[in-house]
Amino acid sequence: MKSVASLSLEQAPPLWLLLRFFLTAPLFGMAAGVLLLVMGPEALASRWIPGVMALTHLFTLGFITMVMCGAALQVLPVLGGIEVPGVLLVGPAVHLLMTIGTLALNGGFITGHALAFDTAVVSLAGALLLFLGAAGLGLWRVKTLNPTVHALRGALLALLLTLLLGVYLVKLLSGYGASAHMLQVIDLHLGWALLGWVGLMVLGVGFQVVPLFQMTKEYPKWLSRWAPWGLPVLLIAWTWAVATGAGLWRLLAEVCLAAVYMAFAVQTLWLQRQRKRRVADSGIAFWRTSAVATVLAAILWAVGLSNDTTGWEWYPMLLGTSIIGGVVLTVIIGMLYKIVPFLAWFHLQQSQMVLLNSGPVKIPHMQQLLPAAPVRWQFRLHLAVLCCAAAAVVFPGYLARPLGLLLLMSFALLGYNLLGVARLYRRENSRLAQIQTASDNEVLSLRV
Amino acid sequence: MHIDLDVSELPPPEPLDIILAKLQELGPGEWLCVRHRQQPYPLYNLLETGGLSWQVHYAGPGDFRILIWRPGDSAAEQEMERWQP
Repeated sequence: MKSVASLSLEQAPPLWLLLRFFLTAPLFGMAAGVLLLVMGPEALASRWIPGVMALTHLFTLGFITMVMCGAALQVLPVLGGIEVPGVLLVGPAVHLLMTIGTLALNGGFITGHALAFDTAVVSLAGALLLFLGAAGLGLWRVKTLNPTVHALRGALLALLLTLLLGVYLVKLLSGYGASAHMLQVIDLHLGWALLGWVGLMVLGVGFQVVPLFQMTKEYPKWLSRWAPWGLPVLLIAWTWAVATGAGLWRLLAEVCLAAVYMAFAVQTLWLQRQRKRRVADSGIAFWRTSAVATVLAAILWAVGLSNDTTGWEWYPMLLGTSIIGGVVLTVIIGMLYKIVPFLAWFHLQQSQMVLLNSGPVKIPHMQQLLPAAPVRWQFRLHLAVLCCAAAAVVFPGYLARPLGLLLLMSFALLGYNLLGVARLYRRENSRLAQIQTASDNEVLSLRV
Repeated sequence: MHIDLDVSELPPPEPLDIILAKLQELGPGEWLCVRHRQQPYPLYNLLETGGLSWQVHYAGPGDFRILIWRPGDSAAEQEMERWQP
């Protein structure tokens, strides 16, 4: 039966609106490297010192959340054919407030100044509430429900709770009161941030991009159907157990949460092993490393359960490094190297199609926008960062500054490569614009 | 005359790249019959931008045929009317 297609993708947001998120994020990674270089071993001494909190938030807010907010603005129209309401205003506002808020929060951690904390609370709450409102409204309107949509809804709920708990903690840190439950609130903030917001987002995006880009089979239904629901429910149960001090229930919830993420990681590795077409793709290497890091993090966590870790200052640091660095940074750097050249190439295709009826015009392939070699170098450098980070939290005296240098180099390379794509896009786009306005004689020289 | 293009086994963005390259070479009376494993929504947006017409046929799970032609090309349209998946 013939059917005329009526489905058309809503216009994705303009490229520069998204690129500002993806190009700013590596600067925060570089800032983390500089912080380590300046502070040295002191910045890795214990999870409770301001330097570690600053480092953590440069990664989690400045890099991870910055990229994820930009990616969500792009993913929503593709996923559900819906436009994020007011994206042209919301996007730049979220980006600006996130940048100010992250800088202010880190300024607050380092200087302890109340004004910096107040600025951070106002800016970050503004940025994330604006993002949550717009993305939430967009997700609410999606008609075709799939596991990714459910996972993203859970991720937004987790981001809201992370924000509220974070604001409460900042208020305590800046001297607006005291709480006997601060440790529990910190655990909840960490749990909802990493296992909720970041974890659900990676899971939801993974359900789409792993089968699509890596030519694997789909994730099994038992995982894709239940994990997006199960994880928020488990996190709520875990929150109740943490808040009421129900130790056994807390442990049970944590075991279940670890099991779900382990299942996702093992399944990802399995699907990649079984894939139909084996092409050398650095994106797969990043996803694979992230999945292996998930398994290692779960083993490390299990080691902590069966041992008394009170004397191991390095233990929570190593666990945090393996999750934030090994699992999350790895997958996000890998995704950036897919998203940015793809978006640039896709927008050039749109400009090319405008000229279709006036004759053939060539544009660069995706591989020309970003060749494979720099991405392979990035992968090697990132692996060096991870190995050095794992060793540096145990031996900060020797390795804190080398780690800072490696981080600075790795994120500088990321920024340089992504900026290269953006510059090539701008050059090609202006060539296509010239063709549109040029006379016939001039056109011949511009078409190739 | 129609040009068959099977992109069902290719990873993104190769299908889009190949289809758009073929469209650049599409002559009078020619139309594309693309075999794809899914609905290529981003392609539709680009076809609309390029002022091209298209039809989607669902031939079975993981088997979509997308017919693409220049509007007003009567030779292509007549041949396409007789086409069966």
